[in-house]
Amino acid sequence: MSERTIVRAAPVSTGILSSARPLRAAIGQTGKWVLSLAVLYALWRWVAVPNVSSLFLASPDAVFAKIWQWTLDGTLVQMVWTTLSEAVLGMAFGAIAGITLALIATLGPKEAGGVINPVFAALYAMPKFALIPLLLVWLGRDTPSRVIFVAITVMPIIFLNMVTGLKTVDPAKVRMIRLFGGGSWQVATKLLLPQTAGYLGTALTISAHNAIASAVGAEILFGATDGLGGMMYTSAFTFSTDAVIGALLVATIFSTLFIGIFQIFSRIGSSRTIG
Amino acid sequence: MEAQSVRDRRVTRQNDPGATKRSGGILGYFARHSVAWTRVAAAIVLIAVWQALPKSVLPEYVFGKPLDVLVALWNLIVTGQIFTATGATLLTTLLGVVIGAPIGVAFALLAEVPVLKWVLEPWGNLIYGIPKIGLVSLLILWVGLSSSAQLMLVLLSVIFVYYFAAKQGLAEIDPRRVTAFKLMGAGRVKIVRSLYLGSIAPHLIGATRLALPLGFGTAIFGELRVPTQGNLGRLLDQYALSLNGAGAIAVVLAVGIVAFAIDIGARAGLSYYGRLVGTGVTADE
Repeated sequence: MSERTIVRAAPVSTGILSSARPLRAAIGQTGKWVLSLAVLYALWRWVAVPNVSSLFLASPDAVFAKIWQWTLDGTLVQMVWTTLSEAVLGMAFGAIAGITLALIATLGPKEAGGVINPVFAALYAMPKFALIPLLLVWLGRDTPSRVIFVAITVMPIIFLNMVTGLKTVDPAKVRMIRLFGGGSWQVATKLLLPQTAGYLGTALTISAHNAIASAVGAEILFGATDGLGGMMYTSAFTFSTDAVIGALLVATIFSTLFIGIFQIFSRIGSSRTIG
Repeated sequence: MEAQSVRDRRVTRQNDPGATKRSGGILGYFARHSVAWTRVAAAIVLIAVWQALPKSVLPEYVFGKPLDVLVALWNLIVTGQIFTATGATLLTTLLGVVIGAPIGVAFALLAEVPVLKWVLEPWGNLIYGIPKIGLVSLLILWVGLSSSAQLMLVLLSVIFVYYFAAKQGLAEIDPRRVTAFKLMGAGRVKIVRSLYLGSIAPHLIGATRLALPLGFGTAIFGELRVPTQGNLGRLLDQYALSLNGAGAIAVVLAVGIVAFAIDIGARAGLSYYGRLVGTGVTADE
């Protein structure tokens, strides 16, 4: 992470001489994206679609028409809102629980860590989708179960990253703050949180990817009728390939944006950590 | 941090005159093994709470009772059901990894070819954002409700782990080494075989460490969505939907144990390889 920050800082420090280079790189990058998307469209439109039954593959035009129709009748906003709110709420609960337990496990008595650590190691390795049938019969298929499911997937990721981050804190610095009369709150806000911001950023970025995927996956397994996963689930029954691909496309775009937000946070966090 | 606090404790114990007296006897024994005993106590408390909580809080059709779960687990073992189911799910996972790894590496190598690079690299980033499990709906339309839909789903999720790992390996090759190979008259095939694949190999071990748990989880997801007989997902679904809480929890426990074993096995394999080759690849990667 430190390496990346240093590399990013370099062109700024070299000044006016190299100012053309990032611009050229940006143009090249955009060109690459335009070219590859054009090739994808061409392959899909003129190679795949004519040779495959429309039952298996919808043409890109049909998919875009579907997404446009969703935009007009408000389905799009509704779908994205359902899935994103599940992901965000689940992440919030998962992050709060994960951070709190990580603080207890690292800073509390060693017995607390001795109990919490193995539980999270097991939870991390556990395929979380196995819990879906239990959640379904227990709490039903609506938003609360899905939020709980996302929180369960996110919690161990946040916990393990935070524990790693907290272990990098120098105990001497903690003692120094205490020596100067700082309480636990000051230790947490002045030392622990800034020091672990980079780790939290990484954890949140990984979690963001997982949160969207788990929300969509939960909707599919719960057999939901709302949300992006619900659209994928119900459209598979009516053989609406255009709707399935459209929902996947929308999910991809929003998941990329969602991850992007946390990547930016993560970069700010880690640059601040390094100072 | 932990090491520090342990050292502190040791120092205080040496300075404390009462320490030697206290470390003897049964209390001293508990004090020395406090972590282990807290774990045991926590487990007992958990099981007691599970047993004692009324049905309105922990409904029996979801969680069963501890003893019933043990009985259910024992029955699954005696009838051999759990072994055939685990075998089926593991087979899907392993097939996915074994087939997916070379495909991922092949795509990464193709992304090194000048013109293909411009097209494939953005595709890779685009596909990275797709919630891969959402593809299950498309796969059901393509291959129907069959076990091949499960396998293809595992494949699709695993391929990208290997693709990005191989790309990372290729990015780390020193361009001067490529020049040196060319100067000494190596052809393209020779460079790929000796330099590229050699550089990718250590990253593949790390990728497998990620791909095995991911593949296992995806296989379970596939089995829950695409019900085919005789695997862990199906077994779990059957118990849960027939409101047999004890059976469902028993299967979840079995799934957790298998996943933990995969995790430990993959980690051990990775650190063994790291020691063998001395690549500096660590289990935490």
